[in-house]
Amino acid sequence: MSTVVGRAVERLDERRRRTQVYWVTVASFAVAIAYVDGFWLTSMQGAVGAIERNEEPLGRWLRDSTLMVPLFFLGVSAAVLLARRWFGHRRSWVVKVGATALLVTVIGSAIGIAETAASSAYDYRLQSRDLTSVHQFHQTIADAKPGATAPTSGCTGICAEKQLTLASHVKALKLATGLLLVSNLVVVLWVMMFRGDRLWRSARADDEARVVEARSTVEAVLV
Amino acid sequence: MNEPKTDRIKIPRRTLLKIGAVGTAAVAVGSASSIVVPELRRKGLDSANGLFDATSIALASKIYDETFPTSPLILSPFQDPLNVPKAARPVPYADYTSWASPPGPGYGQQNSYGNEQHQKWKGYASDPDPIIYHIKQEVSTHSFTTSQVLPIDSAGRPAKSFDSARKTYPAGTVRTLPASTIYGFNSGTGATFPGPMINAEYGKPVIVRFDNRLAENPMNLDVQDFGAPDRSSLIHLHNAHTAPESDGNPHYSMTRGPQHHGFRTGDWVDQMYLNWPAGSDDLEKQSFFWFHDHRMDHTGSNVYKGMVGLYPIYDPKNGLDMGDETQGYRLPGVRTNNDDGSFDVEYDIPLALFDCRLDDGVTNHLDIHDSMGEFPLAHNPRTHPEWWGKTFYKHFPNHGFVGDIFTVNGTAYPVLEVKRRKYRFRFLDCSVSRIYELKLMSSTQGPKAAKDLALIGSELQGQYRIPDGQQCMKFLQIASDGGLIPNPFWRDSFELWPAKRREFIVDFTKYQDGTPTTKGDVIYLTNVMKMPDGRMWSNSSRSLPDPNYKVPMMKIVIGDDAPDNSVIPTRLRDLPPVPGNWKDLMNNRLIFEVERGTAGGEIEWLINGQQFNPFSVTTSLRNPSGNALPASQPKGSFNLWEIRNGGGGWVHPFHLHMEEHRTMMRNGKVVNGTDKGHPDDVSKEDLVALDPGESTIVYRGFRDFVGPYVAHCHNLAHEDHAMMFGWEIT
Repeated sequence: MSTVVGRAVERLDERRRRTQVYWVTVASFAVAIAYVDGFWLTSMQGAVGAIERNEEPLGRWLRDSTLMVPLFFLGVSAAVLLARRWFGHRRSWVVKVGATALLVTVIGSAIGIAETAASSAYDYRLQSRDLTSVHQFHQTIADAKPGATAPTSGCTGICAEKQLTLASHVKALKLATGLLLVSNLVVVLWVMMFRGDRLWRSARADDEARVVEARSTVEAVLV
Repeated sequence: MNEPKTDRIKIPRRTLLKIGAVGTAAVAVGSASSIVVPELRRKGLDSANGLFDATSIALASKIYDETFPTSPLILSPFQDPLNVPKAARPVPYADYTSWASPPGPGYGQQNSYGNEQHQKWKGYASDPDPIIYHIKQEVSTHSFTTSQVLPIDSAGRPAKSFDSARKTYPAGTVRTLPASTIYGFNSGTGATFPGPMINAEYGKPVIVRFDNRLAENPMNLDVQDFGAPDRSSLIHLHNAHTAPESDGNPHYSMTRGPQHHGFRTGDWVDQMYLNWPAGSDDLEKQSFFWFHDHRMDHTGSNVYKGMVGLYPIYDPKNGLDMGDETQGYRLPGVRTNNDDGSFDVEYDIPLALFDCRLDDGVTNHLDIHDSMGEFPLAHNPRTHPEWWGKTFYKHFPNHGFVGDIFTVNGTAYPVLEVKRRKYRFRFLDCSVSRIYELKLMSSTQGPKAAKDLALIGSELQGQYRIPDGQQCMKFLQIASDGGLIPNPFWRDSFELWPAKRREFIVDFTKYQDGTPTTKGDVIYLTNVMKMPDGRMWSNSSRSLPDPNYKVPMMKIVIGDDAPDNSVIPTRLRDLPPVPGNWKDLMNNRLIFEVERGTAGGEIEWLINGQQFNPFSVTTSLRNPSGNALPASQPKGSFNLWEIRNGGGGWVHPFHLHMEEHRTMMRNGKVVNGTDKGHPDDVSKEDLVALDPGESTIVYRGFRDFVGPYVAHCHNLAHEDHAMMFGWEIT
């Protein structure tokens, strides 16, 4: 019995050690990525989004980004924990930090891209509905006279308009993917710098390190 | 040996990183405030939402295909004479009375459908019967220049070219341009661009029978891939005081008359132009209209394809403004009466500005209308070498459509020899999207090809520059859209937005410093507003002037002396009074916000969040009284309308059909004539010039007629993509 309890305690202790990340850093990543990705999402919506969802962009950005923070928090947490597991033992600081930055960027961007894709899909749905309702009075092929014989088959008219709309969203999503990856990498690196590369706690040494850092900071400021 | 002792302070990596982060942030913030913020301010986007709008614009530019050809370089500019239009001739009585369906006031006589009647047959009771003009819309050709051209690419380098048989000519081959296919107006002397000029007079009604013959195409011309695909048309006399059945607007045409986007091929309509001021009020008289196509969804392409005509209107009452400089206001003009009732006026010249692009044969034609199957014979998307040198059009551009060849009265870079005397110039911008800012400049070195100045890309627009150009003369403004203004004033330059008209007197006897001109002196009418795309200007006198952007559009050569009985006026026509209690209407005003949005496909430009619905009147945004009212006004009423630019960084020339308006407030301030950006706010106008983010409140009347009208952006790319709304008088 005591062995079982002992193993459980060990497992809990191991898990505690494993999850000893700097939550302030994780939260900083999540907030920064959420608002940066929200900026691109809002701007992209302004470029190709459905008119029904048109609203004052600043307010929309603040609202949507804030709502997305918990999701990004989960994603970033997972990224940092994974990084700790995979790269925490590496001696090279560059590898450790670089790999972590990449992992946080990739997972954060994946969430951002999914968010953008979902938004585009919703926009497309709304736009397809609008196209159907308005096509009646923009259609001019039916009574086309000389030189403009309507094709008898293929995707024309409303089908073509829907295709064009879809193509715009696909193009926008591709563009957004690149923008999110680059801007997230920049923001992750910056947060890392700002947090002084504090990602996770290395056992016991942490308190000592904090004292040394505080002393050094004071010295640097005084000098 | 001991090393020297040094007091080295070791800064931990973590501290360095933090300092680096703060430093980077400081640099980023500094750069943003020194580069981004001024740029946003210049574009009118320095608001809380501006950064988002600017980013959306940039992203949209990346997402939507925006490839335009570079027109071949006109090698001998300023050689072709300016086309000074002569007055169109009316149809003799004996001729039109023998028509199968002659014009008449009865029911069924207004159009070929037999389902309409003129609301009024005369303005004043004493008016004679209308003068009849017959204008056929025909497929024809037009040449913008007789000069040889050098095909160039967007870097200004010689490029290969083609002919109608798709034969390729190597780069550097000098070519003759083929004529472009037009849908032109023909009043009896052949279809031309611009179309005929009707010299009208108040008190003498005119009926123009617009006769759609676009199906005939006797020369079997290739009509390419723009222009209404069913070749229907709808002609609007901008901005005459006309009843809806003669107004040529799609809110009317979709619900009455043809019940279609326009009048189909083979159809005709008699447009009644009463030449009668709103409310029979002499102060409402105007001076310069133009007529153009207004076919729903294809106005831009039909106008670009040539459906433009001119309509100066004179006021013979007391000889005030009848084209005779010896009487009335004594504005420049020497009138010659023709034996058929028409007349010409010398020294009084309309100048219609228009920009175009010519196909380079290697630019892909790709437009939503191709995918919609409207031009199946073009087999787009693909290149069209066989159309090399002919007009190129993109129906659904991202911001608007601007050309790189500037024309005046249909001729690229013309020359006008003037007498040493005063002239009256009636300027019209009939371009799809381009705004001009014009100056009169002299240049000792003369025009240089932009490509020879190592300019590339959009800097090639206009093709020529006068690097040493200096302003040498001023314009005396005498009229705006709404006619003669009370107090003429001198201007160094003026902006001309799409569809706007401005009239000026230019005295060619002397320069602005008082030095007399001499025969042979050369002056250039010069555009100094750089507008690389249809969104707005990037540089102009009132916003980041570019001293190197001086594009000569027309060469003016001083000729011989000539008698001049005109005078520089100090006082012209008063404005109609606005009631002192106009602010009482503020709370219950109608509010319309123009904005960019996407309803999918090509529905992109919206008003109050809605696309144009030709079957109903739109609804105002909620006003301060809490009402969201329908755009429906009782006959004989007056009201305030607020027109807002919903932002996004575009300018919008917003046109209100029917009566001229007065701008009472701009951006929350009562108009008092001190706004240098909009000096014409103090006159009557039919087109509100909206800078990014601006709002205006206009006072307007709804008199004399009932029925459906429209209001819309006159950037025709915006209008064709739903930035229009229906309203009515009941």
